[in-house]
Amino acid sequence: MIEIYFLHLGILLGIYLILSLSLQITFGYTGLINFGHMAFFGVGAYVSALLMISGLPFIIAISLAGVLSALTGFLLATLTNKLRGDYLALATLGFSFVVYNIFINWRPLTGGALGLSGIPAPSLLGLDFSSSYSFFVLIAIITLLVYFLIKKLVDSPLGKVMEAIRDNEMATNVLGKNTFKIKIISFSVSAFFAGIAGSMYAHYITFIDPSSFTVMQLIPIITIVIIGGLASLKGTIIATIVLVLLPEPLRLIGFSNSLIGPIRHGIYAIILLLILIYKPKGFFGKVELE
Amino acid sequence: MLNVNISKIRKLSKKIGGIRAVRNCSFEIKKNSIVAVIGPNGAGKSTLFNLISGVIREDRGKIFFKGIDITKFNPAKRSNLGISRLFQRTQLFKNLTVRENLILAIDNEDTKFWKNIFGKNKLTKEKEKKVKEALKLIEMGDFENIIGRDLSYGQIRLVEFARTVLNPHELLILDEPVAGLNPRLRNKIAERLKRLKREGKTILLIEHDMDFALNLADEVIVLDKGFLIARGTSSKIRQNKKVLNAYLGD
Repeated sequence: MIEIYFLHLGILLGIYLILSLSLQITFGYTGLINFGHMAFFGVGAYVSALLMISGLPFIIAISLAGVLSALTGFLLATLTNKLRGDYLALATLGFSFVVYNIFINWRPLTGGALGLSGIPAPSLLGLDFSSSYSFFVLIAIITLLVYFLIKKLVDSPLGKVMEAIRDNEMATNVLGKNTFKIKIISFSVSAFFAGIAGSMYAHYITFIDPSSFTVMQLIPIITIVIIGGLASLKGTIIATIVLVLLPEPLRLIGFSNSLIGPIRHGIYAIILLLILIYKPKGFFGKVELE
Repeated sequence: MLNVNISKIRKLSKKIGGIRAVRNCSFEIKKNSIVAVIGPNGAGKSTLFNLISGVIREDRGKIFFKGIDITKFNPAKRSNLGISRLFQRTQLFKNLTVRENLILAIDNEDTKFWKNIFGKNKLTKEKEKKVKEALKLIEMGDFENIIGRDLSYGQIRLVEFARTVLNPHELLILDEPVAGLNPRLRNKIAERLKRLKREGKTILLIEHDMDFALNLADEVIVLDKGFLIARGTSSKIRQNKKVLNAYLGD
C-alpha cells in the first residue's frame, strides 16, 4: 500500500515537472508572463482523453494532445504579440478563462462540469500501463525526454535569442531577429509539453473535469518556477520535488483530505511571498523578477 | 568618396509628447562616408536616429535605404537590409555574458528552430574569430564570460559598440559611441570607424565631443529644435553663424 502511495507521488512529480519545466520556456527564458499554461494542460488532457475514448491508440492521442496544445499556444502568441508585462499577464489570464469556459459549456464534447470519466489507461507497443508501477515508468521516461529536449532548446543559440527577448525585446529586434517568430516558438513549444503533461494526467486520473484546469491550479506551478529561479532548469527540478512533497506530512499529522488542499495552497502562497520579498532570483535563478 | 547615396530622408517629421522633435527634415547620406549629426540637447538627433532605425514611426515623410522605401519596415527588417544601430541609452542583454551578447549580433541562424534543436547551428571558426576580434577591439578579452549586469557603464557601452559593429551592416547608426570612454579607447574607436569607412561602410554619428565628431566626419548635419539648420563639411560648419549661435557658441 505504501509502495502505491510513493508511486502516486512519483507520478504526480513527473506531471508537475513537465508542467513547470515547460512554463520556464515562456516565463523564465523568454520573459513572457504566461497565465495561460493550465489552458494548454487542459487542451492536452481533453484531446487525449476524447481520442482514446473514441478508440484511437495512445500514441496518436498523446501526440495530437501535444500538437493541438501547441496550436493553442500559437494562437495565444499571435493574439498577444504586441503585449508585454502586466498587459500580457492579463491577456493570458483572460485566455485561460475562455478555454475554461469552453470546457464547461461545450457539453456534447467535454461533458461540461460533469467532465469525462472512464478514460482508458495508456498502452503502447502491446504494453499496458494501467498499474501504478508501469505508469510510473512511463511518466519517468517521458519526463526525462521532456527535460532533455527543453535543455537542448534553452542551451542552444535559439535559447539565447529567447533570453535576449526577455532582457530587451527592442534591442533583439534591432539586431535583425524576428521576435514575433521566437515568441510563437516559445509559446508553442511550452504549450506542446503542457499538452503532453495534460494527456498523462488524464490517463492517470482516468477522470477529468474543468476544475482541474483553472488558474488556481497554476499557483503551485508558478510558485515552483519562481522559487527554483527564472531560467533555471536545475532550480525547477529541486523546487518541484520540494513543493510536491512538502504538503505530504500534513496527511501523516491527520488533516482530512478536504483541508489538505486549501492548506497546501496557503503554504505555496506564503512561500511565494517570502521568496518575492527576500530572494527575488529564487534559489538557482540568474534573472531577477522585475 | 563615391557620389552615390545609400540613404535618402524626405520631409521627415515626428511629434513626441506634443513637442515637434523632428520637423520636415530632408537630406541624403552618401555611401562610404562618415556623417556627423550635431546639435544642442533636445535638437531631435536621437529621434531622427530612432526614425531611421525604425524604433519609432514617423508622423510624416519617407526614408529610403539602398533605393528601397523602408518607411513601413520594422527594425528587424531594416537591420537585415544592412542598418545597424547603437543606442544612446544602454541596451545590453544584461543577463547574458559579453560573449553571448556578441554572438547574437553575428547572424540570424539562431532563430531557426529545427536547425537549433538538431544542434546544427554550431559556432564556426569564422564566427569565433569575429567574436575574438570584437573583444580585442574593445580590450575586453578577459571579460567574455562576465554577465552584462556586472559590467561598468563604460564596459557596457564598449560591448554595445562591438555588438553594433558585429551586426552585418552597410550603414552604422551610432548614438554617442565614445561617451564616457577614456581618450585611448576614443582614439581606438575613431581608428576603427575610419577602417570601417575604408572597407566601404557608411557611418551616421551623433557625438557631443566636437573634436571627435568634426575631425572624423566627411559631412556634418546640424539640427536645432527639430529643424535641419545647416549641412556641410566640418570646416564650413565651424564657421557657420547659425550653427555658432545655436550650438558651437564662441
